[in-house]
Amino acid sequence: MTTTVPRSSTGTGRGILARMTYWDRTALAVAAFVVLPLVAIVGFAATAADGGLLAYPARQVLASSAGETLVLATGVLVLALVIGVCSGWLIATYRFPGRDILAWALILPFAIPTYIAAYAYVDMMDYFGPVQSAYRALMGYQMRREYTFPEMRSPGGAIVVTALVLYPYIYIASRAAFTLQGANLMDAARNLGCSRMEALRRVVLPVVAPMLVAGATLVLLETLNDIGASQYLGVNTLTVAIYTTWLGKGNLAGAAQIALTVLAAVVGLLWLERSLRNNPRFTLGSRNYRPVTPPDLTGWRGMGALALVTLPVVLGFVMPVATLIRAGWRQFLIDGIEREMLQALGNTVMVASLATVAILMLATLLAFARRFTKLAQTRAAVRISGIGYAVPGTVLVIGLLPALGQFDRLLNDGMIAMGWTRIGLVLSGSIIAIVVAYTIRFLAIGLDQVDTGLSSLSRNTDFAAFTLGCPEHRLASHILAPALRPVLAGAAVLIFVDCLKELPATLLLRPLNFETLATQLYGHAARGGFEDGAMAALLIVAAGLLPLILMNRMMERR
Amino acid sequence: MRARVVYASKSRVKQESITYEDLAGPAWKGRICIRDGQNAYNTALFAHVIARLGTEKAEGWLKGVKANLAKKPSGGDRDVAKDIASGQCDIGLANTYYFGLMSKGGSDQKAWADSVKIILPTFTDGGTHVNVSGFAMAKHAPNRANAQKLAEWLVSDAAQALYARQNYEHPVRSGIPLDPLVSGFGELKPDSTPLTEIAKNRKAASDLVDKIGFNAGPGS
Repeated sequence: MTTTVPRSSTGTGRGILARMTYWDRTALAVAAFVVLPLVAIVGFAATAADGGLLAYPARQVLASSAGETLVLATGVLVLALVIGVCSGWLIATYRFPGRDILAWALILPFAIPTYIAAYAYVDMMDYFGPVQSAYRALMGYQMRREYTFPEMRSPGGAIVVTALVLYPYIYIASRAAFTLQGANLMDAARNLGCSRMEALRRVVLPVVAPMLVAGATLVLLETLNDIGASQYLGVNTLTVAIYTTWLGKGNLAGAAQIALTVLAAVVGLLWLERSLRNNPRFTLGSRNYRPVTPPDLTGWRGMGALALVTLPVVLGFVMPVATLIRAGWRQFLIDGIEREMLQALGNTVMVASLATVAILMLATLLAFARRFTKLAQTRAAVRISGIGYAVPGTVLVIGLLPALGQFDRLLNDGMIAMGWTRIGLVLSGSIIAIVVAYTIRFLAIGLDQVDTGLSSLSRNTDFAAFTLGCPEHRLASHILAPALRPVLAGAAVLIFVDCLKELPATLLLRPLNFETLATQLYGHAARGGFEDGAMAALLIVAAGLLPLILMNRMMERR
Repeated sequence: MRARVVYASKSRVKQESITYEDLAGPAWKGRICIRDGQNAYNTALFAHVIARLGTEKAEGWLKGVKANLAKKPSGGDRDVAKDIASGQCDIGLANTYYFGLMSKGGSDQKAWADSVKIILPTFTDGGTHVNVSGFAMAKHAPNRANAQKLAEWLVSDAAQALYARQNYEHPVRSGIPLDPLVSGFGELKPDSTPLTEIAKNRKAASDLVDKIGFNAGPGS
């Protein structure tokens, strides 16, 4: 083991390599592991023959799918903002019957991944579904051609479905923002003669807006990541284009070029987020914070507020879940519990558990590295290690799979050269590929949790330990890590459930005859029999409720 | 073998035969439903059309089909039956075995299947487009002998009977009984164009779908 460089020696004359501790090296290695597949995409994109994407008709594919993605993303963002800000405002600044239950219930749609929402909504809203059947019975129509009815399989349908399950990102942020700042500002503005609406528009919203940037970014990233819903609803987004260009046309280079475009958009988005968050036009010292008892809304106003905030919960959670339960129950009556679903459940738990363990280990190492380092480079490396959460699963796979494949080829060639037998595709052809992808995708969640937990432990502990001659690794393993246990448990749930829901990367990386709940459900839906996967969908949603319970507890503690 | 055929409304379509070429004709304006043009079953059919008609005519044909669509391509093959049952369109392209699976499925799906009839389309002066479950062995496969055995078993009477019975497919050998539901479609005459010819045009077909903007739907 490397010895720790004394913390006081930051002599400028010495090279950076000499100043690196094992923490620094670990952080750099993890960052390299995360960034490598993304860099690989550039390499594969460069191998494109015949002019690549700039050539016709690839150029057209890129243009049209970029256009559809832009429409989808903008629509989802606007709708999610409307729902999230309105409900956050009502919950934070008023009291009305049912408010306390709804404050929690409004985050329930988080439990439903976009693809499951799409399956449920098509089932619910199509010609034979309960809604349209009731409408026909009510209006006396017979045929579909006699009336107009919103078509879920359309860009508009995709916008509504996606926004209904992603608005909680905005809701949580806006509720917190309004709770912290709304009442004080509102009071001040009204004292200065503004009407309620005017105060909201001219004072409160401009202050709150920068606080919504992070939530809005997450909404956009989730929308970009989605493949199941877009494909099912007939929206040819960039993610779908990557998939068809690679698998439909066998054109990896072309797919890598589209992936690179998406990556550029993601980096642009993150840059925009940072610059918007770092330059708030107004700041309000937290010392000015004065908890205010929200005014009561009674009578029809109270009922109106209740109806408004109930609507997103009903549309984003109750109705899709009811649809799943109905379909799942019918499926259960026909087939019972099928062995293939249990097998998929076992597979899912296995890959998700492996990835969770890997992420927790890496996240803990990174958090320690950040705590102990003196190098700005290491802090940057830790930050970069979390980039995966922003990279759509499909994009990640485009870089990861060929990179793992190259490794396997070298390994097999090496084994043969050494006179041993080939051992096959150890990384790219096994579940290790999925575990690696999950680890890169969701490392940020673990890092965020562990880092927050670690910074709540006082530095004085460190100084005391150093004074007593305890080296960093002992401090980490014997004092800090045990104190992190509850944080790690919470983080494990969040990570596990995200892995369990993951579709785009799993779809592309799963070995033959290996299905997770998500890919099995996707397969059923692609064959036009989503109901056959309804029980798998219910399991995913049920698991998705766990982190919400945790999140709620964390929010209440704050 | 899985034939890619025409699902037609029992009540609104009277004719009992049709050619793939007919689908681009004005008689079907606003009446056709189909899944995503980039789906493997569709690109295979379009590749077949290219092989038979040549690139230029195939492009005209696909444009004609696009103009005849009742809605934007989406969903799966079962949705074609569903959309016909709901009256959104009158005919659509789908694989035969979905009809069998729906007929034996839950009550909803059975109702969709009951509203459609199967017409086995042909190319003018040709046969029907079929997809196959093929068997390929890697050149350097380590277990050649076992793979060979598996391949032989897959084309055996017993295995082919399984395909016919379990998945409502057409066996690749003659003399294996069809499911009664499938024999009710009439006699299948697979087109004689070699599969390798069709496979060669697969990328061209996929590019053609992009080029004419097939997935954007009618009126675009």
